[in-house]
Amino acid sequence: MNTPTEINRNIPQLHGVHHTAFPTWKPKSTVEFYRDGLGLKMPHAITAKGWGRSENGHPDFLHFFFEAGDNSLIAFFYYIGTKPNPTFTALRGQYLGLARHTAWTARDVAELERWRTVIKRTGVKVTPVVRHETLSSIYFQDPNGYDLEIACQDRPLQEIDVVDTGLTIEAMIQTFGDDNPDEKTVYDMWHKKAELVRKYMQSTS
Amino acid sequence: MPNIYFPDVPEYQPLIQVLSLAKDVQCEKGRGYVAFKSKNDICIQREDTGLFEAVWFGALVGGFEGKIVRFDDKELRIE
Repeated sequence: MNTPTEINRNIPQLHGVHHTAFPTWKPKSTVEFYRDGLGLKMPHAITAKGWGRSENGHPDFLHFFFEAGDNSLIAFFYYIGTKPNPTFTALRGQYLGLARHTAWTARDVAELERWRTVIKRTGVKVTPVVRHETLSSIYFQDPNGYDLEIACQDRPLQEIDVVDTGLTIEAMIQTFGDDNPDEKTVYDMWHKKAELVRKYMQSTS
Repeated sequence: MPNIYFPDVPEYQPLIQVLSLAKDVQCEKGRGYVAFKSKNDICIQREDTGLFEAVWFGALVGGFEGKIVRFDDKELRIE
């Protein structure tokens, strides 16, 4: 069985996140939050005339970056003269909003608690530390309404975690495919998972 | 006859321990999983596990056989 950590020698490897990028229509508040509130350094900013595509309606813009640790960055585009686009910034409802987010790494729960203090000082609401399977997190939003998370890994992932992930994903694909079938529920998927786990336990290797 | 499976990892130990002590529930371990089966309902009270919601509501991650008759913030019952 292929596993998420199995290395395929025929394809190159990725080395973590360089940056993620989002549009902003609140450049001042964005800088005040990330640079002044969270204390993230700003190593790079691009200012450009339509990226050479002004004739095609591409607005002039700034593209500025904040350091997010271990050489990763979070970046924003400010498109001059454009109106806020609610497709990006409007609240998308609790669960859909949270589904698209940026999660940064903290070393441990103590560091998460220190971040909670810093975030609260900016006036932004932040959740208590939430303990999940294998990691702990805090959640908050930036001034644009983008969802952010800081998480720490509570334990290293083991071989059984990788095996279990493979069986879960197989159960998901067999149950739901790409069809969004109305009649299928999470219970159908868990039944399929049990079938796969039982077979796995009974197999010898 | 209900069955429930768990990956044998730290975060599911509270659930595994509760079922290990339950009457008429048989336990089988192998290849990184723990399986429980019973002739009667398999029932876990959340307060016996001390689990926060995030892990509690993922209690069926390893899969189950049978019918869920209750799965809320207080109890998981499979018949």
